[in-house]
Amino acid sequence: MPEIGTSSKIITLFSSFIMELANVKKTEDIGEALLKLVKKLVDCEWILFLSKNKEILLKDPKDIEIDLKKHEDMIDWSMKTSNSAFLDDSDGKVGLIPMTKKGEAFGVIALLIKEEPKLEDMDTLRVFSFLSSVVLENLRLYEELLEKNKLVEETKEYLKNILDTFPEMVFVYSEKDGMVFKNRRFEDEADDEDLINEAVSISKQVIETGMRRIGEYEKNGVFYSITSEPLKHENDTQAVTTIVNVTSTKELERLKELDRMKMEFISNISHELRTPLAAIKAYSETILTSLKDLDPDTLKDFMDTIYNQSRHLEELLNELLDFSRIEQKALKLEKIMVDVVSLCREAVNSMMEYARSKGVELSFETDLDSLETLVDPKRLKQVLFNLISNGVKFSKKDLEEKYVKVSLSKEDDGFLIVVEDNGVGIPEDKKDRIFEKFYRVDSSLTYEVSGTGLGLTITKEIVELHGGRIWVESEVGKGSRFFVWIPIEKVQNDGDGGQDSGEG
Amino acid sequence: MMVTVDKILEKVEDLPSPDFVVQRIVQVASNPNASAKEVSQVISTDPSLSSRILKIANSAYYGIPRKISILSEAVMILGFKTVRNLALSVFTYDRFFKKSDEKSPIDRKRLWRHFVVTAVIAETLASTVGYPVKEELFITGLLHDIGKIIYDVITPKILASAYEVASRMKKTFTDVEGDLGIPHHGIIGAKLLEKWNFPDLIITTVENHHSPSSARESVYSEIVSMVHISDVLANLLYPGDSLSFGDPHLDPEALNDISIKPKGLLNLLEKSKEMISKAKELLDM
Repeated sequence: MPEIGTSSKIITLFSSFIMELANVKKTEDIGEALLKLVKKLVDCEWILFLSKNKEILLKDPKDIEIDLKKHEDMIDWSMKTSNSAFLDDSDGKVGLIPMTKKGEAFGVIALLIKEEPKLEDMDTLRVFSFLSSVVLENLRLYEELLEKNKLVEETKEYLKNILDTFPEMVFVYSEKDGMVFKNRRFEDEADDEDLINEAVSISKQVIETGMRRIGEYEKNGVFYSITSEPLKHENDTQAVTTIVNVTSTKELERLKELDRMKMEFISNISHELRTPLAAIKAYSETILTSLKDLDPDTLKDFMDTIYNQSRHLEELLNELLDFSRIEQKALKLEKIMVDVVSLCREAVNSMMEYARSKGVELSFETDLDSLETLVDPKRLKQVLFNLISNGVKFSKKDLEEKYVKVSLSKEDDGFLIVVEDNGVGIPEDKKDRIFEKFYRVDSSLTYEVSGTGLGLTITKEIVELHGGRIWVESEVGKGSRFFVWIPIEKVQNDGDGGQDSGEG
Repeated sequence: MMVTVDKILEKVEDLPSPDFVVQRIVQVASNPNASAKEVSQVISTDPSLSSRILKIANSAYYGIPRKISILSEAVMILGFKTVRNLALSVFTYDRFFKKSDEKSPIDRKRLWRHFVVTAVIAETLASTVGYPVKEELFITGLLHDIGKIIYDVITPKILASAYEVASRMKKTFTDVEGDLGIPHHGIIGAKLLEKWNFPDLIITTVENHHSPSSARESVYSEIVSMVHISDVLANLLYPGDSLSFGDPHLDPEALNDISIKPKGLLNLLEKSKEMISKAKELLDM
């Protein structure tokens, strides 16, 4: 006896039903598909699709009025027990086919047929209604899932909006998929390939080690700090990387440092100014109160001291004046044709006495007989005075043979002055900073070695105004060599030769 | 006392066929083109059968909110197959359980309860897992242990000793069959139903209800698994009813087969208990 209906009719029905279901997007469409199918299977006068609450959701024909009140008890029973039933009605038989899945009802198909249904049709109807219920339920779950997805999307959007407000550039890097997240700041501002590459390379290290990493990146004076943290996501290790532009922070630090140095400078310069002033005051007081008691020699000694201290005071004030000119960009050169060889010699000679008084041997040597060039002689002498007096000042106290050697040579299209000493030297990390204004290598030296701390700043400015360069080679404890290179100039250029009333 | 397998099967062959009405009912209910009228006509030829079917159809078990007074109405509301099931229930009860046999050591009333309880659980399980043709579960659940009653009819002594061993040793009936070297009651039952021209679905399920994995390739594998699970639950609810003792063996593959989880089994047990409480008319025929 045939157990499974394999009749071609059922196969055809299944085929068209499956086709209908495949196109179904909304839950209502399933009802339509099922009604269509039932109509093909049995010859019915009308057909309805009732909701769980017995509301008519669909009907065919559309304009028919049907009252199912008298069958309500059986509709409830049909849904409760998942049984389909055919009931006697005045016009024929009312069939009720419940739509249930695992005992839970979604609704009922109700139809009116004239003739009694065949056994197989009843079973087929029921199987189709079960099938529709499963599809219906799945579709409902799918819709729920979409709804949930929407919620997840909204949450994601919300979090992204938060991350977008961050002033930092944030991205998430995955070994597998590359950049999986970028916040708006990153999208807008990360346009430097090298910066991105550096950040990605740090992210990769984080993924590899599973440890937080911090890096720095600098280009054209813009500083970035890169922080990357590992993040476990599903089975993937990712890196959350934050890039912050710290240039303003660095600038602030620099300004703070400058301010600190300025304060130091003020206290330093006050001390520097007070020392000669105190001497002048003390000696002149003594002279005034004890003029009668002083013999001419002592008096001369006193007057010498007063004179020397006044000179020193004048020098300090000149330095300050020069510096303020530099600050205001008001330092101008007065260039004339000068023989640099004799200029150097003069400068060295005039420092000879001072050096000797400090126990330092000062010497000058050159292969050149003469070298004519356009320079500001006063200013160039000032450069030499500064470098030589620095060499003398920073000599090693306990050394027997202290020296400062000055040499002059032609180098490329310019001349090179080297001032070499065997003094205390300059630590490697401070070499670049000694030319900065107010900077002194060691503030503990402040009271051992006098000076404003402006000398090298002024020197550098003068050299650069000549279109030259100044640099230093040094080793701590061995000594220093300052190099000054200035291009040789034979023709007076425009813009040079501004009046300069300052004193070198 | 040892009886060969062939001898037992031979004796099954000798059992009388069910009466004409039952045969017709099975036949008509399996005919796809049959109508409600035909089914009710066949049953109506036995007025006693008709009235008993109507009594059960109106019972709390089906909970129909209307009173059904004619058979064709019962067919239209409960379906062909349920009416067929009821006819077969009445027939099986009358044929094997009505008269208590003095020679038999077993409590037939309890064995019948095992039949009905398994049928109810199987039908409930079908609803729970959403299997559309739940009527087939009722009838296979009802008839799954028919082999045991056949044993009682054809070789009461063998059944008596098997029952003795099972109850003393706290063993399952199936294990005892193995120990005694007698054919499995599933095979005996299947043999009888085959002889009676019952549908393949019922025969295959009855034959394999203790080893669903051997019916894995069958189109009826889910039905076999469901009846297997129902049998185990029935044995847990009423231990000893089925002449089986000790813990029933549950094939975990059967649970996988119909995708039911242990928690689902507990729910099923609760629902089944409720349905059993409404099945008074089936239990006390």
